[in-house]
Amino acid sequence: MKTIEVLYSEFGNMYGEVYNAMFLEKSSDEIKLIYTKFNDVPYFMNNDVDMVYISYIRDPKIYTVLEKLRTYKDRIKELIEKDVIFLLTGNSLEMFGQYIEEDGVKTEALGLFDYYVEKDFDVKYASWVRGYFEDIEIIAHRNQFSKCFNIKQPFIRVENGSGSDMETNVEGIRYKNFYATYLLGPFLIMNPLFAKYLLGLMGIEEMRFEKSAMEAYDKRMEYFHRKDARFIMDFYG
Amino acid sequence: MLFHLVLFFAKIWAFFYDRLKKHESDFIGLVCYKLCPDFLERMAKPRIKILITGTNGKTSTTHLVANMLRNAGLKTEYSYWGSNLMAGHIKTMLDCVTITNKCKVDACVLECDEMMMATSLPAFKADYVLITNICRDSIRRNAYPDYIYGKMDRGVAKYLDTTLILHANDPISSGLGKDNKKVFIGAEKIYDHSAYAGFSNEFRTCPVCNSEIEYDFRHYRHVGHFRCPECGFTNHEAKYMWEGIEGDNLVLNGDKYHIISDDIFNLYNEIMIIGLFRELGFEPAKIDELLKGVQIPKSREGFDSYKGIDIYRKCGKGQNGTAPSIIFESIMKNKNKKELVLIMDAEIGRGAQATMTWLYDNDFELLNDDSVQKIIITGDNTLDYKLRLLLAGIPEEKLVVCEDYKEAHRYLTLDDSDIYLIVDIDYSAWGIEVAENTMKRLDKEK
Repeated sequence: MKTIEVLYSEFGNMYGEVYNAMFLEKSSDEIKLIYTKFNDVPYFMNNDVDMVYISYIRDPKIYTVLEKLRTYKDRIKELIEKDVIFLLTGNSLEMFGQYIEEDGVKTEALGLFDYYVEKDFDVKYASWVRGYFEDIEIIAHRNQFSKCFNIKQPFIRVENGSGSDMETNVEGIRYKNFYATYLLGPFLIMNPLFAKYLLGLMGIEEMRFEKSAMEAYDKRMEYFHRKDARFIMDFYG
Repeated sequence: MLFHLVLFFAKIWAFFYDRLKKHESDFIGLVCYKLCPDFLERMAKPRIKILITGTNGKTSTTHLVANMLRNAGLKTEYSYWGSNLMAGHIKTMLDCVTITNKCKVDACVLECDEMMMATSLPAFKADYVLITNICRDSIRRNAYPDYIYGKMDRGVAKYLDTTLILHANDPISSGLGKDNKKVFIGAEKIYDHSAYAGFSNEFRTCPVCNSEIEYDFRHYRHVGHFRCPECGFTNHEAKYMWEGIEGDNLVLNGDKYHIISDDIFNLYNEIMIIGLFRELGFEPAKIDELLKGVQIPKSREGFDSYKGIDIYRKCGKGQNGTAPSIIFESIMKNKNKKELVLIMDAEIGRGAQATMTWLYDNDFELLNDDSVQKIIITGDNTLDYKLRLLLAGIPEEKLVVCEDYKEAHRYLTLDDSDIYLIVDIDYSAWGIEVAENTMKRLDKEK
């Protein structure tokens, strides 16, 4: 049995993100999910896990969760170095960099990576993003009030849309089996090839619903390869 | 001087536009705003000014409130075409004033986009702001509830003379307006069962201490009676309390009121309206009489019983994170065999380009029931809906993919199953079209 720990989903119950872990669970009988609430000690502190998932966290709560994670920093670092899979979607990656700057105030983050984040709630970045992780083509939603700079280990090479800093084509962070991206929503469901890649890292070859997920993925890609594809989210998109 | 010139020009423009049957165009409102940014603020206001806002239910509530005021004999204008931004406010108010800026109506009811409160409220100077609820919305619109709450809270703080009509059972919107005058309207448990405990709960943790919130009951989404087991954070005390249902009436503070719609979502809108009218000075018996004279707008829901088959139309806000869940829950209270047609995409024929986050915010699991015989999926994103329904545990043999909604009626079995057409609210005409096509088919075949 492979164990996926889902951290603090009660703060991130948005944009269908909770379903990412459920999708993996529904994809294989070998997956077991453990949901850890804010006031619980993470399962990974005293047990081995195969994957840790943190979804989007509502912005006002990100500092609360950051303070909680600070107490587990050494164990998190140890797990990352031991090649345990970490998947962070939405703004949750902000907690793992150097600092978060908002209204001129810098809050020290976990410092596990070199990047840093600037937040401005007057500007929302909402768009589709298409790009590549290795040879896997990725399509996903972006919806954020932040920019992330100084990424030295990029996760996705952006082809359409912009990267984490809105200027370059670099999106997210990948280090060993740590995958973090601002892209959010049902990220794994919309990217079945990447979901299958993660399952493969856990030694699982079969993925239930693969056929239907790939049909939806192919149809979406067909649209986003068109010359008139709209990446900016407008009234219809 | 500029204001009066623009008003003169706008009234003439509006006169000719009305002759061209383009009354619902907000264009002139936009022109006024561009030429004179404080145009709305300078317009003469009626005696009764009501602003209606919130994530869901604004349009229906605005329609009901305005028509009740009209039926009460008050000359009332409202944005019946659903316009809810500054241009629409000005266009509506142009119908309230003369060319010399004299107010000629008793009341004006404006629907207001929840993100625009900071500009709309101080300019309109509403006596009452009725807030239906706050919940998540589409990724392309308003982001998450905390963000919407922050924007609205800063908005209501800009005009403290208004009275907020707030929903005591909504833990999010009921926190608005620390320094405003407030009236809370709440509900007792009412039903034996609680709402489906799925994804569409916006309020899971205590805003004070981050502990998990406990609910004594939930009527829908996060709306119900809640409390924090650690710090005691709970509902505000309500001045007007919905106590129960007796036959075709709801009972609020011991008085009976005619029920307009038995959907829980509409019932909540109704109690908010009752609270507003009580604050306006109407007696319960008069409010009951006024409620009997209004209906939910036909574009929002509909019903036809034709040749022995019941056809229901249910409209929900498109790409919304919770509206479909409420519709599904309402539908599943009917235990009859049923076939569903999903018409939830905003476009057809462009390709699979719609945002899909909302699919996984909503509880499609509710449709995994033996009473659901078939689900016909329409639109450009049919394969996404199909995958979502499969993940919800619905057998593939129940699913029919039919991209063009105009063809959907051909796949209905037309046996003794009820038919439910679930439609994006902006495209309610498509639902009416499918219902009409189904009836034409029934004419031929039965």
